[in-house]
Amino acid sequence: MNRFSRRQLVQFVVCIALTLLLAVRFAEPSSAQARTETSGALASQQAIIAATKQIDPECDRFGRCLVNAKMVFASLDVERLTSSLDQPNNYTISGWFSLNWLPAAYPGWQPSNLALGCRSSGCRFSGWRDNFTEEISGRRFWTARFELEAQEADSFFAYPFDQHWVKVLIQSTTPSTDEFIHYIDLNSFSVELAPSLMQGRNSNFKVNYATLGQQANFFLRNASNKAVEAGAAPQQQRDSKSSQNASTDPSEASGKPVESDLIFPVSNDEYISTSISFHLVRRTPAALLMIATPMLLILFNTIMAFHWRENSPASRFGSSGLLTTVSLFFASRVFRPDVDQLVFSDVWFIVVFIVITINNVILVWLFRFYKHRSELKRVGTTIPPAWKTENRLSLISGSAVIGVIAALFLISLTMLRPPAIPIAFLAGNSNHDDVGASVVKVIERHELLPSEYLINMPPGSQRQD
Amino acid sequence: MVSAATGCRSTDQLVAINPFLSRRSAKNSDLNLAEIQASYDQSLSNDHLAVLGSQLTRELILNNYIRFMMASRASATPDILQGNFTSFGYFNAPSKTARNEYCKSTSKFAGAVLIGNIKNEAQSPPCGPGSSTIRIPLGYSLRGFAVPSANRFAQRLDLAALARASQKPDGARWSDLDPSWPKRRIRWLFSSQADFLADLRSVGIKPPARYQLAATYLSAYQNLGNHPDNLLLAPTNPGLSATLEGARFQILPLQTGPEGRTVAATADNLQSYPAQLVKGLYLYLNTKSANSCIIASFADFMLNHNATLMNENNAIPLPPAELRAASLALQNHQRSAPIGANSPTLCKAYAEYTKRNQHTPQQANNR
Repeated sequence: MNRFSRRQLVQFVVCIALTLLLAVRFAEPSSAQARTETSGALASQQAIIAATKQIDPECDRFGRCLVNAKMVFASLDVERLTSSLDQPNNYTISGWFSLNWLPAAYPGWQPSNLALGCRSSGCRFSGWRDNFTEEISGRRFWTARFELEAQEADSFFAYPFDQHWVKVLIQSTTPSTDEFIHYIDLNSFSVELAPSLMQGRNSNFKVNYATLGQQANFFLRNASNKAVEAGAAPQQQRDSKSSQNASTDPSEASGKPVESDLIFPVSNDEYISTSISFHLVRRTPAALLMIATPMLLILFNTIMAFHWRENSPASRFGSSGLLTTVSLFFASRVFRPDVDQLVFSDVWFIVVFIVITINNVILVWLFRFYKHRSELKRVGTTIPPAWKTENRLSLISGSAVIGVIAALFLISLTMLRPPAIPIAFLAGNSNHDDVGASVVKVIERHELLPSEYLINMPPGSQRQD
Repeated sequence: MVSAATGCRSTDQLVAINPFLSRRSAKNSDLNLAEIQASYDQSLSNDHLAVLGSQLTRELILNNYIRFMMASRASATPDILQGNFTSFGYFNAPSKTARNEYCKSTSKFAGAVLIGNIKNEAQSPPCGPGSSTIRIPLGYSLRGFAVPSANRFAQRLDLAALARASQKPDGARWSDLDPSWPKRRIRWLFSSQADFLADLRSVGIKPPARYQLAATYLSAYQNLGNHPDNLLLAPTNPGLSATLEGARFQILPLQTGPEGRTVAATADNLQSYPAQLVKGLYLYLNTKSANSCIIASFADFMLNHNATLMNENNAIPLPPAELRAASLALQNHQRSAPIGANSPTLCKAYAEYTKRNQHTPQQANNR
């Protein structure tokens, strides 16, 4: 028993020794690798800080070297924003997109890693064209032309007084671009519309206001992580990140500002997206033209046929119907995406149909009236002239048309009013998501115009504070 | 009409509700009409809050809210984060307009971020007596007088002499401030982002008849070098030179007394700088708002990391005593409205964050 135990003990000791030896041999390279990675990261951080200090020598004092270095400035200049009558839910946006970043903070990063997208899959991005790059004081300026065909899922209730949200997403084409998108500065992100667009020279739409937002969605990233690497354990990563966060704020503990990036590290588990939304409202003259032209055409034809007294009531009834049909077809082909849309979703034409129906009812009554008159004439009864009744009917018909136009005008005024804040705000910024969080800068119409940077105020000019 | 499982209506039901919606328009897109309606429904059940504030504080609030959002979410477990979307919108308006809009009884804003005169703010309750608003100070910002680098004679500015000179009918000249300076007229430059007329009057200076107005205070500094006789009154901050990447200007120290003592526009001189030119940054929090706990949590975050967040965003942090008082006022409110199971997601996430970071400004200051 003793001998057996001694042999076992020797074997056990040898096993332990071998295990330890192997563990040390395998642990050495990994710890060395970790040390190399840490020192590499530190060296790169030092290089970034050194590059930032060239621009902001006091960044250390205020604890903002890393944040300043990583900050990305961007702008979007929209030249055209159009939508065709055939496909009113497809919008073509074209213009220039510009970036300004510190290449030392994003080594190897190229603008081709970014793309523009939209909410639905029916979205076509032209790619970046006419690129221009310049480097000034260590920062790189890059600008390029783009064209984006965005498809939105919209309802055309109240068309053509319809209002739409068109969302442009700044997307990454590689996973490493996420950090770049996260550091796009929302405050200084300039969204400008060309004056021709604001004046409606090349678009039927006006942009009431725009929003610029950043959205975080842990579940989206988590799902894509699972799809890409089945063995990954995001929860473990989260826990390790959370334990990093658990440390107290060294900035206030030491009394000296410390980089906030070191206090609140960006979680790799969050999927960050940046987007610009435009709230489009069809310009009032364009909308009125789209209503007034076809409506007047239809009403004119209907009423003209109604008042053609040389014809018999039956012929007037027939010609009214024929002219109405022709003008309706013309109106639908020219001013509406399709007949279906005109007939089933256009409140204005429903009203026109009512007027046409009233006229037709009057015509039927007129037919009966003339028939009754001929009966009276046949028996020799003295009757007043027919034109008196005809005039009275014309007056009734004209009043009805004026009433309808007045009602439409009032409805138009109501429909032109901008929506209340929460609905518009949410509609424009909810990315059809029910999880996540977003922060949004609301840009009003006057901020979308290219600004004059300096104005000479003449004597006596009063300015309201 | 609404499916209990998904909260979505079918397209047919929608068409039945609204006769003007066509099936064709619903089919035109990859996302059908039911999805749009569902997203609206979901949006309405989300936690959304709109905050109104000055353009000058927008950078501070947007940057810090992103920090707050990310830090809170990083501490929360997935079961807290799921099934909710929180959106925070910052609407822009000058401080006076923002205050008037926010204080209306029908206001839909959950909060406002305002730049105010410290004395005026201390004297009156936010939005008048009986209001449900509490006011949280966040930090300070200074107004400064700047001249271009080409101006080699002005090394300080006597406010009293400038006030006297401004009363002259033909406007102030540099020689009115110091006889050794040139007899040229002062060319005033202001930024439309700040209430410069009130600032001038507050230090006894009569607003000039003719002046140049810049769209932003940064563009005012950039355009300052247009003429050597330019004098700019605008917001200033420690990182200005860095932000403008070496724009050439000099912020003049102010001579406040007859004995010639000067004070520079720096955070160290917060107490000695003319009080009229020190502006407080305040967060007005509507305690009756549906999602007030999100703004309260955000305010708590900004107070807990006040030095870091204010310095990083070019504002001056609160002195320790004021920070303690502000935290106390906020804690009193939070005690009256504790976070529960039905609270918005971000509030619960932030509660987790604070649990992990058992750290208060008082503790920091005691260290």
